[in-house]
Amino acid sequence: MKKYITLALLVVILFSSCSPVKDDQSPRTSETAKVQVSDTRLIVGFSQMNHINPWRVAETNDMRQVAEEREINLLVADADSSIEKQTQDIRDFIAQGAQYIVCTPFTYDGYQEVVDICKEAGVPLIMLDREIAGTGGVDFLTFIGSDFYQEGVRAAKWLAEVMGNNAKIVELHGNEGSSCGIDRANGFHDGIRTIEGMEVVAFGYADFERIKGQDVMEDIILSFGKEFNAVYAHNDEMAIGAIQALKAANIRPNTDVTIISIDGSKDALKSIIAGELGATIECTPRLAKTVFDTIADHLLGKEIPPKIIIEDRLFDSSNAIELFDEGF
Amino acid sequence: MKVFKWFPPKKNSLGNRIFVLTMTITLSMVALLGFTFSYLSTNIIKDHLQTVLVAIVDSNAIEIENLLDNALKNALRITNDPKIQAVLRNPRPVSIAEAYSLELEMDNQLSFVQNYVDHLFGFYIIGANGMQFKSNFSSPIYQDWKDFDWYQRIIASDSPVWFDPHEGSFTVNTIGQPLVTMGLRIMDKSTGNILGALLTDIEVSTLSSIVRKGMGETGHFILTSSDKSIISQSANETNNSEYSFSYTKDISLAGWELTGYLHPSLIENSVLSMITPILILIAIIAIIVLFASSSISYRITAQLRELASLMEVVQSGNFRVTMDTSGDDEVALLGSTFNVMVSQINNLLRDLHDEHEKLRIAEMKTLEAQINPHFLYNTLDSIIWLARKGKMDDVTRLVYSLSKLLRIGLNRGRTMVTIEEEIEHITNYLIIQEVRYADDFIYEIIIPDSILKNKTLKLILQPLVENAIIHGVQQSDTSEKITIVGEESGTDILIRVTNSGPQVPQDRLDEINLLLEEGSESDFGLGLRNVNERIKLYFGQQYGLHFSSNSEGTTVIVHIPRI
Repeated sequence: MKKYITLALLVVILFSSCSPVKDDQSPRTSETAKVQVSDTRLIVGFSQMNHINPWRVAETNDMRQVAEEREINLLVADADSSIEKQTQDIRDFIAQGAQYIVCTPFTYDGYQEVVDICKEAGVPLIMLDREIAGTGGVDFLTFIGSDFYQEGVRAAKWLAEVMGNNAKIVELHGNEGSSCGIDRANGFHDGIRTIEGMEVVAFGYADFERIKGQDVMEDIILSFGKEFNAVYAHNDEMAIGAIQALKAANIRPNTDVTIISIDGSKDALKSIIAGELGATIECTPRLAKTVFDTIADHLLGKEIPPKIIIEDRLFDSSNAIELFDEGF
Repeated sequence: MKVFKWFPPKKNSLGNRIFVLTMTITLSMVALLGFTFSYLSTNIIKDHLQTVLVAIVDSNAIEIENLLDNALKNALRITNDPKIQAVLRNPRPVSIAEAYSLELEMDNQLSFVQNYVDHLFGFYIIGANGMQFKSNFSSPIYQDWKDFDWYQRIIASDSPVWFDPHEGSFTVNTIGQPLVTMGLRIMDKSTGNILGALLTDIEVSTLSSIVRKGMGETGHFILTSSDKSIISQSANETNNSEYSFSYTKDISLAGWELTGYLHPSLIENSVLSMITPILILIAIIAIIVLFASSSISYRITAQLRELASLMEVVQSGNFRVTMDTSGDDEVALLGSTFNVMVSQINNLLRDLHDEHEKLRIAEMKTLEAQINPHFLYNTLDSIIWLARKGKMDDVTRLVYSLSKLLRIGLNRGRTMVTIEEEIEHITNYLIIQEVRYADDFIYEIIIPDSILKNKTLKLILQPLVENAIIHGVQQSDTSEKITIVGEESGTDILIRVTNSGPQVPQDRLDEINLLLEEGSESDFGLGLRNVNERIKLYFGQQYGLHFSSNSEGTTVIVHIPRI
């Protein structure tokens, strides 16, 4: 009898200490409660690492839109750039009955726990847009996203063509250690290695942000002068920021300095149309179609490849106006 | 110490009453103290919590106001910026490239402003010339906004327009988080024309994090807009009627209100956590008092209970008990008094027992005297003698008297008889003795009718008459007279038995009377002494026999109560 009372007390304490945590959850995740009550539709949990750039906002909105079209209950959680929160979010999804988990990992390492949780619950895990340590088809169902390395290679190839194999390049990285940054750098470096006149003369880290891109470029101009004629930015935001810095320093973009970046945002297309950004390698955030197609195939029992790479385009002055709406 | 009894055994015992009394008084004092304390502390805590709530609401409202004020100042700075004014004043560049370049440049300008303002989600400018700028990374939505309601409201107002929370921004792509928006129209400073609208987005979650500061779960804060719709609240519940106290602070800049509600349970919990130790203390005091008063009452009443149990022993007939009175308090006094009382009762009972014994012996002796073999022999001898003489009438009279004498003497063992019966008895005796002593004496009995039905001890006159015959008749040569006279004397009866024999000397008379008075043993006539003793035992010391004598004769006075 005593045991039961103790147990009941424990339960009460647990629940009472849990409730404020639920209240604390940001309004973004409040919709998970909404879909919880609905019918027997497929439930998919989407754990987004954060929403601090338009790419991820577009990715989440795309997931929502396609899920709605296909009548899938999509649970969305924002992990606020924290692996701990992301792990907890995924636990919550499983508790809410998610049949598939889609996760955009914040880092390459540190996701073993997520893998274990999903394996234990028997819920297939799809890694979206960034890879983690582990093997598709073994540790998780599959990876869906762009080939960041190829993006780098394509950027190098485009720059070599436009610059006639002769360029002094400033490279703007995102944050140190991100898998896409490493791949984009490696691809680019491998792409220019064989070409004599192509070299990276300066680089900086600008956290994939516009303002920081501008700051870093200002610093490079200050310390380096105008001893470069090309900029390779790992994303559009940094490139657009850098362009403002160049303009402020009376360096004409696309004339004095050719700029290429990766992503394919609307602002990047605007910049191409404005004649400032040379080109952007598409890295589409619109992955939802592929994600839900893959889930549908898996439900039908089809074999799922361990990696699904999205075919990306290249936007430049030749197609920017025409494809403006394709930007995110 | 004696064996400790946990609780006084009897409900109505003195110990129990002392116990209950001390308990009641102490506990009511403690309870009064506890109630007073909790009442006062409740009020203090309530006041305190209300003060705290007011302070938190004020502080949070000021923080929100500062946030809005900061947003407004920066918005005004943007709208008055000469370069922005110029860009909006001029028509949109015809060349898309030029227009986009300008837009990206202006975006950058806004970004810098936002970079130095905390807690803002973004500034957006919607130009009347069709240009559109934004301060954040959000992807713009391109549309002609001029016919939209929010745009019309902004340009129609000369003061900031505050929009209630809405999901997602009006003009850029977001993930649909709730935002509040401040709209400010942009006027051309040189012409007064309307150049467009500046939108400032603030995430509701930013406001919520301020609203939630302070209080905890039982206090509840609600931020409402000017039309009383809820912008943010610290808890999901909306029933505010059950809150005991509320305080509202205006955020005049936006016409908002921040209201704090104090939940009674917060007060209760605080009071509880404060008075719980006091209650525990009260409980401990109660237990101590319980033990102490139980122990005290037990010890106070221990001697009393001993006395009570001794009294029970006495009640059951054992008078050989004494109480140990080794104290000098009231109970010890009571004990010694009890001891005295018991010993007196013991003495009285012994006396009573002795008297009974004496009485029994006296009655035995009376009976012995009555059927004195000597008397019987003499009487029967007289009868034989008379029968020989042929005096049959005298024989008959004698035998008749003797038989009546014996019958009254037996009288079914009764002790008391009426005076009439006693007189009849003595008459029969006198008849017998008259025959025996021939005509040596005469007798006379005078008893008033009024006392005939009164009671007396039986056989008290016979020994007197016998004595009168022995000392009067036998020692005289002349014919003597025996007189028996009864009379009332107040509530008593006096019977005088007089013989006309020789006078008894006065010193001898005094000696006899003294002996009769004291009832002591002596060689004085056994019959008389026995009668005297019986009267005294039955009726009291003031009654008995008394002798008087003069030349006329000697009188024995029987003094008995009239009953």
